[in-house]
This record gives sequence, C-alpha cells and structure tokens, in this order.
Amino acid sequence: MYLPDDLHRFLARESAERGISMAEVAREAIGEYRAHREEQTHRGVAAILGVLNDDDEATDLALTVDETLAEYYGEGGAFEAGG
Amino acid sequence: MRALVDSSVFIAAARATETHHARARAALDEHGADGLATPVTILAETMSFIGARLGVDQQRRFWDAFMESGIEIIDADAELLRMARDIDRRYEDLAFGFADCTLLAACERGRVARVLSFDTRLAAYRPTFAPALELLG
Repeated sequence: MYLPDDLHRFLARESAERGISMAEVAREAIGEYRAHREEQTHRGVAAILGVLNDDDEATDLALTVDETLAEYYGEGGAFEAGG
Repeated sequence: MRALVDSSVFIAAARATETHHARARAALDEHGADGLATPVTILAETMSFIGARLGVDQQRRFWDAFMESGIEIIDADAELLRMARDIDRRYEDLAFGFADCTLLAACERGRVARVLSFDTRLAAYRPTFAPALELLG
C-alpha cells in the first residue's frame, strides 16, 4: 500500500511515540475508520426503514413490483388513462 | 462483501406493514457495514413502483430517505447496459426484465455475489465469478 509522504511521516511518528509498529497503528486506524463507516451507514439506512406511511392495506407489495408496473403501464392501465 | 439491493427489499424495508419488513430491515442492518449499492435502474424501478401504486407524496418520502441513506448508486452506463443485454439474451426464457438484468450486470462488473432481494427468480442466474448468487430469502 502506497502512502503519501505526510501520512507516512504521521504513521512513523505515532509508531515511535507509542512504541508500537507502524502496522499496528495502521490496523488501529483502519478499525476506527470501519467503526465510523458502520455508524454512518447504519444511521443512513435507518432513513429508509418504515419511511412510507401510506394507507394501502396490502402487505405483500414488495413481491408484486413487476406485476404492478406491468398493470400500470400496460394497455388500459392507469398510466394510459392519465392516472 | 458488498451487497446490491433490489426493489423488493427497498419496498419491504420502507413499509412497516409489509410481511417481509423485518427480514428486509435485518438484511440492510446486517450488510450495511460492508457497503450497500444499487444500480440507478433499480432505483428508478422502485420509484416508479411507489409512484404508480402509492402516489407521488410517498414517492417523495422515499426519494428523500434514499438520498439520506448513503447507499451507493451504480451508473447505468453503456457498458453496463451491454452486459445487461447479454444476460437478457442468455436467459431469454426467464425474462428477468431490463432492471433485473442491469442488477445482474452490476453483480458481474463489481464481482458482487450478495444480492438483497426477495425475487427468487434471480437464483437461476449463474455468475461467472462465483458458484451462485447469495440471495436474501
């Protein structure tokens, strides 16, 4: 893995100051980055969960995507009728 | 491993009243940390579905939520569309359809075998880089 000079200097300084290898500093940093990304992603995905508050009584819409679109855009469908 | 998300999981996750809501929610939570992505064609399919079935207000709610989600959007460029059409030719009898073919093409291009979908037809697809797709459900 290539590191620009400034990051390499930082890594070397951290390693020297803490008395651990540069590889160990890098592992820690990647671990912290991953935890940060997980937190970000989970918070992001949460935006989708339950976001639709429609009053449609159907409970299996997720399984009818193709059929619903075919009906809507098909001959005589709501799209053709301007709905 | 990264996972690609299909319309069925987006809709089940977005509607708390769906039978598969809990499974969709668990899948997004479980795989979210590894990175989630979807082709823009699947997003368009999802948005069209919501608009057609539930109306424009619900479509806008999902639109805002998706933009906050941080889920990566995969461009449907010419290369992806060519790959998708090749898949459509090879699996003509199954008639996956345009959006699903682009989803499968995105799997191929990104070498992503994990697909969050309730569409069991996708299990028939044999990727070139893995023995099978790993489907939710």
